[in-house]
Amino acid sequence: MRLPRIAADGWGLLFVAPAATFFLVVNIFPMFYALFLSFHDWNLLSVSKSFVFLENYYSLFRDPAFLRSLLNTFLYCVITVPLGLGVGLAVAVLLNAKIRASALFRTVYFMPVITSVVASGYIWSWLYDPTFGFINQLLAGIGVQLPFLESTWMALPSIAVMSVWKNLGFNVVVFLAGLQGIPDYVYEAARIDGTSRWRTFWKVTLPLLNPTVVFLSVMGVMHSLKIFGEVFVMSDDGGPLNSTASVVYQVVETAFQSHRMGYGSAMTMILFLMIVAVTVFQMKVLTKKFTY
Amino acid sequence: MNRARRVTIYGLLIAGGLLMIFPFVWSVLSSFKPPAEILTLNPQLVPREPTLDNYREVLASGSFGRWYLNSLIVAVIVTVSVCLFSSLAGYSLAKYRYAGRTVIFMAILSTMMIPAEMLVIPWFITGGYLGLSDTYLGIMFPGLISAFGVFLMKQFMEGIPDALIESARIDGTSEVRIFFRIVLPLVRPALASLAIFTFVSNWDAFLWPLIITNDRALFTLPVGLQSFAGAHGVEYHLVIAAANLVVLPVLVVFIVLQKQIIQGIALTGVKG
Repeated sequence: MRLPRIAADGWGLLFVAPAATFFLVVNIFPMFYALFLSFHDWNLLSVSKSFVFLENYYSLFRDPAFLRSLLNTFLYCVITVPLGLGVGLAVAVLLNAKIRASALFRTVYFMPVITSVVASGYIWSWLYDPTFGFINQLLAGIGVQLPFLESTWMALPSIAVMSVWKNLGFNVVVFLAGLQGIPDYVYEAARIDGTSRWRTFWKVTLPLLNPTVVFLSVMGVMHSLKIFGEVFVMSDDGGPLNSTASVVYQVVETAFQSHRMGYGSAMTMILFLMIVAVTVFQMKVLTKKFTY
Repeated sequence: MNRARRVTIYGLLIAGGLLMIFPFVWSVLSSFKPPAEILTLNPQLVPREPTLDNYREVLASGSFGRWYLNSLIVAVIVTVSVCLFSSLAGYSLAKYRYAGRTVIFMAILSTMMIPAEMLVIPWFITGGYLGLSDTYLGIMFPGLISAFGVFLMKQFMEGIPDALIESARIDGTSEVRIFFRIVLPLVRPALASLAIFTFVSNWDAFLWPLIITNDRALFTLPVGLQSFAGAHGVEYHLVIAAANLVVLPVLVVFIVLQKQIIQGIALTGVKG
């Protein structure tokens, strides 16, 4: 029996109203406000706000500091995503091999994910200290000393490695869920056909994990695009010589230290466009029909 | 599984696991060392003269008590708000029929694409006008409802049989009561995951609290730690002890609730 639902539908609107209003006021309006600001030259400390249309964008692409931050952000992506996915998958495969204490291992690998990036960033800065850091103290045994965060070529990879360590557990847990979702009969069939373990992994497991790989790549790329805490805590003002400053780091510097709200907003619009591009790519790939 | 293979698997997992927890173990052990044992070229794993001085000094010079309290207030209120309003909206979108329902859902879903990093400038300017700088509301408002939460709760609410809700209606149960007494208890596991996830991400939140607070008394724990460490530079014995004060409570909570947290993450990963 269908009951009169009309009476209850008013309640439905009432229930969704707080959320709908919230997203309108806190997300959608501010998004347009950011676009509006990006067309203006506005220093928060001055009264005048002048409309300059695309001039901020023209300047951005001639601004060496911003271009450098784009390059740096790209480098964070290129280092952290493949490393995080590769190591994450390897750990997940090992954990999936019906071993004892797998919950304990999973917990250990996941611990860095839930810790504050600020706290773990300081701990890693100390590990990386050229003189009193553990890594160089260890390397002293074989007569090698590395500059880590103090050199222009090593600082960015050092931060990227910390970021991989911090987020690895997320990849492990999601890969593990993906692996456990593959039905046993698939492996059974491969075994009966006499397929080697190595070949089974490449020809059976990995293709079946495709959606998980895409999902985690997208999450990883998104995280690198927005990387900030690690850089803010571990680098010396995005240095040495801007070699570690990410896009979001530049945004914070421009908007909240130099008070250039319009220019900073233009930077965030570029970031937004990159994020939309990645999201559209993800939707295109993930909505493809996929059959076992 | 043959013996050699088993040994290899355990060996790799243990080596990897040690690498993962080493930074925590090393910093906890070192936090009990006097500065001379840290600023040395030949460090020992275990402190020779264990001391609580580092923690004493951190607690005396920072405002860590206050920052704990701030983080707790912010994380608890945001979590309660997210759980309540996200599940209300999720329930409405899953179980009621009204004009504009799909549009509202798509609009909420699409806000997940808008990075907070882009909104901090508008939030900061508007927040300044509204007097929200250096207030709890200022720190909390961007997170009070989560689009991801709405999406998650909608998915789970859809699994509740309509018949259950409609029979409660026949009995004359009010809509509000149906939501709190029938619907919410049925999605408790998803709600618990959402709550833990929201709490942890707010406890660790850094960018927005850093921007909207200037007054030390309003700092959350990560911002407080950053300001403390900024002032103490390479006094590692203090910085490490302070970092541990931030990390340890979360690790303890995590170890107690790890099963739920990990299931929650796997859930969102698979669903996402």
